[in-house]
Amino acid sequence: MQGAVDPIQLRGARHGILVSVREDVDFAIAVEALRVRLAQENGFYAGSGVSLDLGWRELGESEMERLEAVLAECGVGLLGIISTSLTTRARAEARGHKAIIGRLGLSQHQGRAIRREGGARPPLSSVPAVPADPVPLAPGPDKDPTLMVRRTLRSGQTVRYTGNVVIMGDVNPGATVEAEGDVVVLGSLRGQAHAGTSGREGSVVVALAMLATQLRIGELIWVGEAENRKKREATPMRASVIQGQIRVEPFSA
Amino acid sequence: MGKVVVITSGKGGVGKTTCTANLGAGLALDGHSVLLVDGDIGLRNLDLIMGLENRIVFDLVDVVEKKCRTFRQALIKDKRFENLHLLPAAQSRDKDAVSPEQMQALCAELKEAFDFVLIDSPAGIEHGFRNAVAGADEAIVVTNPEVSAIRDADRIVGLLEAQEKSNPRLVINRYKQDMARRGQMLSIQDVKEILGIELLGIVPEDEGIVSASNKGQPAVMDRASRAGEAYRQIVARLVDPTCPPVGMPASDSWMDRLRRVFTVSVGSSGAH
Repeated sequence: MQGAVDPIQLRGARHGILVSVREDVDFAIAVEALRVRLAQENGFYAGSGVSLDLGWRELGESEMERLEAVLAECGVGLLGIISTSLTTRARAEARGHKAIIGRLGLSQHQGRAIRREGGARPPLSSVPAVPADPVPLAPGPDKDPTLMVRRTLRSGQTVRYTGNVVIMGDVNPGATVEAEGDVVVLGSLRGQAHAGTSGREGSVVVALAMLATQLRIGELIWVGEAENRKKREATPMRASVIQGQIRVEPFSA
Repeated sequence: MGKVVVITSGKGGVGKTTCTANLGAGLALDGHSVLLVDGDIGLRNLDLIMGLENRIVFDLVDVVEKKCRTFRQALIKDKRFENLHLLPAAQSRDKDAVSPEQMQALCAELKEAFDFVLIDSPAGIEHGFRNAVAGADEAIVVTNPEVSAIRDADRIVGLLEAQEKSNPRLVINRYKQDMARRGQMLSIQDVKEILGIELLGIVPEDEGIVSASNKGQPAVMDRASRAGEAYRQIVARLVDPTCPPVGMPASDSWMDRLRRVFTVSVGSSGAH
């Protein structure tokens, strides 16, 4: 269904080729796509260097090795890694690569979109540094791209996305989810959630167990009280902005 | 070939070193050849807990820097067990005297010679932690039933997952059953819910641990010790993964104490 969307994007940059890897695609698939792309032009890329924009993706040791192996196989040098993940940067540096903090987000906006109707690509809701292809800015909650995270976020881990975020797992204390659209947690939300980071106050936070001590929507902040804890643990809750204030109420569709 | 197990926690003072010493002594008691590695370079403690401080000649950094011929020269044999050894940390050096690659190479060499290599990780998530986990096959995360310790343990589990040290297992240390029952302390269930990893054991709060540590005599050797009993159960589970799941720690009525004193079999005897 999403076959048309490429997990990687290549662009010519001043010092070589800039490769953006989509954050929501399985890393093995992205690396394979990179290998195919670099190999298919009959050695056109051999001898050149690439910079990799990995976004917030946390790269494991074996993933880093696989990446190096693929680049070596294609005869392409690694100029550096751009990532917002401390783990990824530390790992890259430990292996002797250059790593800088940042996220160009060339392919981030094409996240796995939940489309209400077929047709056009999901619109951009952020302003990426260099838009890969100009899509009109026409945000609407129903058309935002959605990032699915199929694991529990642990303390110190952060997910940031320009659309909606769905966490299939818990958000533990000390973990952070930031979305320009809605945040949905199919588990316990004990960490921090910030919906509508670009200032959109129509965004909501939904969790099966709303145990967060602090929620943010747009510019507003809600500080959880201890009293409702029992209820918030037992029923799915939704936080939304009502009359300029964040209210947390039982979720009903 | 043996396996390398790192004992780590994130937060300091939760009982990593005590846990390492007791699991090491317990495994040795069970007949396995064991090496304890103190990974806390610059703040070494494990030698004290084991009562072996006065025997140190070479240390981990000497081994890595090849100041001694083989690693065997740096090993200290335990006073009580033939099959238990300690590789002490350097006290006058810094954590970055050793690199993760060097630790990996060392661990690969060590596990050829022992059934179990237990690495006592330093607190924190920096260089020392990365060194300690670099060569490990498995990880044990020690925590206390306190929010701060659990927050740090959760961070550690996340980092271990990122390092592809899969399925770390949990030891909850200093658990006070009566306080948990009164709701004054986090319960086992609370801890399990947040961390969501396999529970390896629960060690009850036991004053005897402090005096045992000061004497350099791991509590696991003391049949009457409640904490020692818990460590024996953890040892059994480390050796044989099919061991029954973790139960509540033994209560501390005088009848129970009496029963433990007269129980001949040690917790790990069921493993074989």
